[in-house]
Amino acid sequence: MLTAAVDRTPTDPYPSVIAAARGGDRKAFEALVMHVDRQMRSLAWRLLGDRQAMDDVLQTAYLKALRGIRDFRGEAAIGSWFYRIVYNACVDEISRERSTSVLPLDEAGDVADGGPDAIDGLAGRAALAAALSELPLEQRAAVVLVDQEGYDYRSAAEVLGVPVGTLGSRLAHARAALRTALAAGRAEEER
Amino acid sequence: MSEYHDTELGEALRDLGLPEHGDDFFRELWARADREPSPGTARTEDAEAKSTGGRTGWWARPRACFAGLAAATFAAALIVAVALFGVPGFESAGPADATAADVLASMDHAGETLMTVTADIVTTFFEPNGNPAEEQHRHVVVDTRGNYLRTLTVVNDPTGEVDGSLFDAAALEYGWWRAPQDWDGTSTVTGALETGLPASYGLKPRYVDLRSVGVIRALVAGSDASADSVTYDGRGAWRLELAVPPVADDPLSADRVVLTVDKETGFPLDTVELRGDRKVIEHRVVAFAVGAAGARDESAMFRAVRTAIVNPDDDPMTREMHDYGCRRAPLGRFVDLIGRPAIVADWMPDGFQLADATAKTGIGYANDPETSVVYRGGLWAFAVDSYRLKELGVFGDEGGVVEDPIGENSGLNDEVVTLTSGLFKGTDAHVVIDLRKRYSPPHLWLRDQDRGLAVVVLGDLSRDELVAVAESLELGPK
Repeated sequence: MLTAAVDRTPTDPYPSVIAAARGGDRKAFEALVMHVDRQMRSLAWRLLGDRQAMDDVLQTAYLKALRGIRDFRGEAAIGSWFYRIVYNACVDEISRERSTSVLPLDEAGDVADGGPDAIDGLAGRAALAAALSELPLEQRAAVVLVDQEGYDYRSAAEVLGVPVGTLGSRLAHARAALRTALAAGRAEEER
Repeated sequence: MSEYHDTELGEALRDLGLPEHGDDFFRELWARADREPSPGTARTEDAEAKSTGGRTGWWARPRACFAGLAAATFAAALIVAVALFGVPGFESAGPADATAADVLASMDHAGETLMTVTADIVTTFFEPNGNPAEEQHRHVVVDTRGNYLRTLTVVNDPTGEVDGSLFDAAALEYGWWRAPQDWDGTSTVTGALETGLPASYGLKPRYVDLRSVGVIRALVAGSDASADSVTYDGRGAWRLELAVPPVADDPLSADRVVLTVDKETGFPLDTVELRGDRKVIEHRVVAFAVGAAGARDESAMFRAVRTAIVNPDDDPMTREMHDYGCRRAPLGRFVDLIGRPAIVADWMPDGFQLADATAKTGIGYANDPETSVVYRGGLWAFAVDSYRLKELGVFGDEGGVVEDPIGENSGLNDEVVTLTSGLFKGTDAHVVIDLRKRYSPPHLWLRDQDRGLAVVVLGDLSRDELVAVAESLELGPK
């Protein structure tokens, strides 16, 4: 189902916490990290497909954020700011490893926490995970930010450092591939 | 481009699940963080180390670092308090001898003939203890045709990268790039080009990159402060102090701003934001030139970048270029192009005149205005933009969410004014001048459900001028 976009980009719910973190309050910074961690974990996991790599990259990214929080001046949502740091850290990690991460199918099943009706069983889930892992990094990031996390196009484009049009192209390709995988998974379930 | 979310796919992706961190993740993270300098101090040390590192360029990494020069609600009183500060380059040239209105008149008059301003600006951010935390160097070129270029270097940026951006008003084209400092213009760089932009697009980056330029006229226009005549590095200048209400939850926001404005051009030569007696941010011009050349004369680098970032094989998947579909047209052709006339201003401050207009011709980004009409007065400019509500996601019929088409977190500090005349007489309009917390320019927005339109007046206007323009809005020629 395609729905007209409503701006669902997360906003900053804790301006006083952000201000305190900018001023050097470690507890405030820790609160920010806890606030955004699920989203960052989601992006890193989808891009890296490896738990240890995810944790390593997020540690690096969060420390970089700690060093840079003083420069955060509220020009974007704090989540977008963290996203950009994490995305760049993931790109660096993948470049360094010179390998394409593939989410193991068994791990896709291991970590799934959706209800039985949320997606068409393990086969469908595995097919989607496999298709996602085969997408180019940029397409994966685009579909995670927009469709999974609900970012608007312009915010997602800013996170990824590309024009909105480029983001749209990446989304179109990613959606086509993932929808094909979803359909195939459902067909297998029915057999 | 229409903007969609694939909700079914999104749900399926979320259902794939997500692993938790390892057991020791946060313990290790905070242990590592304990070994880090506190936020800000590391940058100061880096800055000092880098300052002797031989950097020479004015390049920059685009740091969306535009938070706030000045005030929350602009309707707040701007008080008179002239006092000289020990800012390098200052020399008092006499007692207070002008008012803010005189300064504004001087600025607007200077803009009538001004062609180009080129400036190198040093921006220093200060810690709460008063120590400098970070230093940014900008090279900017702004001209009266609406072109602008900026490059920025963060002195202590460990990446060693530089950022640049340029808006070409004639081509309605905006480009940004990130490159190594020693980039010679021949290799591929990170960047993007956007073409077919609304006429007003060029106004917005000025508030991102040049907040001390974009807000100065609005600040001065809304003030009754007196001004001193001073010299700044040999140039005649006005100096005045404006009080602004600090943002309560932001310890780094200022409660007053000391401006030094060039008499010839109106360009801010020095802007010091203070909280009490403590400096928060200072923007200091260290090199300044006024000439007849345009920003496009400095665009050799831009042309090189343009070549470098456009994939020569024209692969739409990797070509970092997009046409947003806005086209420049005479106002009388708008009905033919988009089925309705533009929304135009019948009143504007002295010195302003119609400069540019674009219509979005059916393609492009959903949240760009369908009509965009720009008025310029020297360096200063404002625009009247209009959107179809049905194309503007935030105004969707189902959601019914009332939001500012160009701002973030709208509604927090808006002043609501009921317009008393013009095409939108009786409509509630939101005046947004919240210069520290947002990167948007001073603006007024409204929506007219009957016409299915949202309208925004934005630019270098004071609160009263924004309202006056809004109350003069009318349909353009058919």
